[in-house]
Amino acid sequence: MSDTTTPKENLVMNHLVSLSYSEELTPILERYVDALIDGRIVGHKCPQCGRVYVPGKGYCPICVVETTDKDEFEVSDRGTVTGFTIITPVAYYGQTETEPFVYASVLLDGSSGNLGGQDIIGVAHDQLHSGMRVRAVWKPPNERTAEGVSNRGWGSVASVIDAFEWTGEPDADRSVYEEHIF
Amino acid sequence: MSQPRVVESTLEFPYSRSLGPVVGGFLAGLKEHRILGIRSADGKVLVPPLEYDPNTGDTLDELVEVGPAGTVGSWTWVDAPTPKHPLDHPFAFALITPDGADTAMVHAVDAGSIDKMSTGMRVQPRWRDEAHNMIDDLACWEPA
Ligand SMILES: [Zn+2]
Repeated sequence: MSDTTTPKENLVMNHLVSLSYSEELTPILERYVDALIDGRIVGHKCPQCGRVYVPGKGYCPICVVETTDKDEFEVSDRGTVTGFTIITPVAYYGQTETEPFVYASVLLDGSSGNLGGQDIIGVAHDQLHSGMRVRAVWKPPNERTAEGVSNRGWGSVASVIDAFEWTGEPDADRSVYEEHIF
Repeated sequence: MSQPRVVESTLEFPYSRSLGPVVGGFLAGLKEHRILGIRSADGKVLVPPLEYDPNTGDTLDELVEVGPAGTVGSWTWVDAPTPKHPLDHPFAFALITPDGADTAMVHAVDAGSIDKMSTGMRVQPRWRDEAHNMIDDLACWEPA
C-alpha cells in the first residue's frame, strides 16, 4: 500500500443509457396497425358514453367498461387543429430536425381525443391557428409499417402518415375544438 | 392466425458527468493500471472510493493504492450473457476484495467455467486496452 496524490486532471465520464424494447403488439393494436396500413384509422367507441378512443384501449377509462372488436369504429382521416407549437430545435442527442417545425394536435372527425405531435403542411408557420381544417397525407401503401406503435403509448401514425395538410375549408367552429386545446 | 407483430424501439439517455477528485482519482488510477481506495476516519480502506465517510459524513481525500490481486467473496454465475453484460461469454459476477481493502467491489470474473469459481479464490485484474474513464477500464478479473 502506498499513499497517492490526487490527480489534477478533472475526468469526465460519458455514458449512454440505452434501453431496447422488443414487444408483441396487443390484438387491438394489431388490428389498429392492419387498418393503418390499409389506409384507415380505427379506434373503439364506448358502448356506454360514446367516446371514441384512437387506438382502442380495450376499455373506457371513464365508464370502466370493456370494449372489444365489436366496438371498433373508423374515424376520418380529416380533422381540426386544436393546438400547436412551432419548435426551434436545439441540437440535443437524437434530434434530427435542424429547422423550426410544427408539433400540432389534430382532432380527427369522429374521434374524442387528439392525435399529438403532427406536422401541418400547406400553410406558413405564422398562419397556423386552432380550428384549421386538415387532412392526412398518407405514405404510399408499400411504405407503411408498424414502426413507432407501442403497447406503452397511445400508438402513432408517423409510420403511415407523413403530415396533415390544410384543406382550405373554412375553420371549424370554436365549439369543435375548445375542449381539446392542448 | 398470423404471428403477432414484434416492434422494436430504443430509448437512449446520454450522460456526461464531471467526476471530481475522488471518483476521478479512482478512474485516473485505473488508466495507470492501479486500483485506488480511500481511507475512512476509522482507518478502513473503501474500494471503490467514496467521497464521504459512510459513518460520519465527513469529506474523505486520502486515496490509497490496493491490490492489484484480490479475493472473491460471494459470486453468481451468468450462463447466458445479454448484450448489456461486460463479457460476451459465460462469466461470474462476484464481490472482490482487493488486497489491502476493507470492502468488496462488484465486478465480473472471467473464469471460463463455473467449475473454476469458488469463494476465497484469488483473482487479478485484466485491463481494458484503451481506457475510457469508466469502471470497465478494469475490464474484468481473472483467476490469479
Ligand atoms: Zn365510456
